[in-house]
Amino acid sequence: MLLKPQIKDIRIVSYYLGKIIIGLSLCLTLPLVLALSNQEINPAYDLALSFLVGLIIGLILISVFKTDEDLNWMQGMSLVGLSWLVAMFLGAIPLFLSGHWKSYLDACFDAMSGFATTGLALVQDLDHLSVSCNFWRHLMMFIGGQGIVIVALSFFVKGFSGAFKMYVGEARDERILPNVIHTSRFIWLVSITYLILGTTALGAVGMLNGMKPFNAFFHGACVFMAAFDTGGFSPQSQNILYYHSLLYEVVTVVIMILGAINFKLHYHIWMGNRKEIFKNIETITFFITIMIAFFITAIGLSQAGIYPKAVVLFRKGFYQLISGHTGTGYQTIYAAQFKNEWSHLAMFGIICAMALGGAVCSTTGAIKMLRIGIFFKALLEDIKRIISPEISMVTQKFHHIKEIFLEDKQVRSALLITLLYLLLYILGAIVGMVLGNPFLNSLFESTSAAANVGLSCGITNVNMPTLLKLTYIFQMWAGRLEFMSIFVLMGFFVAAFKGK
Amino acid sequence: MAGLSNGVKMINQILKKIKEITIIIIKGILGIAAEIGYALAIMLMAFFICILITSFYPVR
Repeated sequence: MLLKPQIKDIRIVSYYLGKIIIGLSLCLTLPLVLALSNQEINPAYDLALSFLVGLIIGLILISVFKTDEDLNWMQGMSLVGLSWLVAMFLGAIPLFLSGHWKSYLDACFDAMSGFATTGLALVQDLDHLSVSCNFWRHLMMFIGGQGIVIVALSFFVKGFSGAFKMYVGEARDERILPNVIHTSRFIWLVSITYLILGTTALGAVGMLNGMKPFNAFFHGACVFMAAFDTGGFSPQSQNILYYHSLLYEVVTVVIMILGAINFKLHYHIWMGNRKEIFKNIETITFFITIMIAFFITAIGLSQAGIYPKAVVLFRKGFYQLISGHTGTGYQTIYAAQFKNEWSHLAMFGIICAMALGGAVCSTTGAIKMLRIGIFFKALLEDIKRIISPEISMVTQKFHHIKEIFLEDKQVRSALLITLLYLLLYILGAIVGMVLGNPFLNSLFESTSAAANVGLSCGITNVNMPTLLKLTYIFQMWAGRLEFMSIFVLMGFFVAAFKGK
Repeated sequence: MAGLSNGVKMINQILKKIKEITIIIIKGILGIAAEIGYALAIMLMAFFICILITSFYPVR
């Protein structure tokens, strides 16, 4: 029996939503300061207006619905699902006002793509977008990669038990430290440390390539934010191809891989347990799946005969593959090259890589390595059970920070999420095909959206049908939050109408 | 004399704290190096696959 949500539920959700909106609005002050220091007057007005809209709505919500009560599971999960939608609407305001997006829906598409760290974009004339607006696009990725709620948890919430419910709702079911607030602060510590290192490295490489210092470091910061948070936005329309630099590509590959590693693993490695990187089920599975997917892709590319030299095959083939596998979406080829030059087998290899994703509790989307590792362990357990004598007791362990005995509950949960991801990939592919696109291209683009990757074979463009835009927005949202908080939010609304 | 003893104690505590922080920073740097090493190992292995395929796979 569904219980109708009470006024109290709406009050609590609205109050915390107000806090999150204020947190997001405060984030808008960073590009605003950049706009003012860069004397970009019109973008500064756009950002200031968006900031004020968010601040006023947030203040109204927290003063009207003021409460001291803590969140329960239903409220926490609904709040997370709702927060991401509200973030999309708020984040899209300065984009739309800039005039570089054809409609507010297009701006919402890019805002969701940013927050969900996807990287598909409908922006027009990106190369002439203001520095501050470009920075906001990348900052959205950085915020979304950490998790919108994590931002609020880290800086605007003093500590409450409902924090864990919101943390789980954002598809992070692993606590690094006993306290979830400390966990979210550690996530920021890792990100800020790598932000400094990554920006410096990319800035230095940019300057070596002849870029002016401000440009080199601005591009470095933007590219780092999008690469580490496995996003895929780039300051230039040609994406990473713009830099024409092997060194730039190598640095971004390293950053993408670092972004795809579990934050819990970062913690243990940084605390001195470096052997964990060789033992952890996720790093081992990640290594194996990359090699298998790349082998398939490389064979496909060899069949097509477009990159006959090993170095070129590595630069073009491996870059797109690792970009897909980590869920980043950076490209060093044009979108049309995927469908016109790459063979079906090569595209299939990239689709597999995109569908798998990186580690749990990282900034990547998709099925994720822990679940893939658990499948293989479960398969191994079943094979062992069949070949062992009937009276023997068969157990299976896997190493994830510590030795863990495989339980049916873990296998069931992993299978359920995987099944939902597969359905989501298929849903987008069907909509793409209904709207007249070929099967492989539709599956490629749909997987890219749902797995929060951002690689495109050309279907995503400003002229694509509204239905496809809405489908991809839903896929990005559902894929980033790993379904549960969205189902709870839907349940919340259904219960409001049909509950007793 | 007591003041001097307290001063020495304080300096010892500060040195101990500096040592602890230095150890944490060194562990962190080594950790970052290990992670970058992992990423480079993936790249190296992939490059090996490229050499293998371009050497043995018949290009059309």
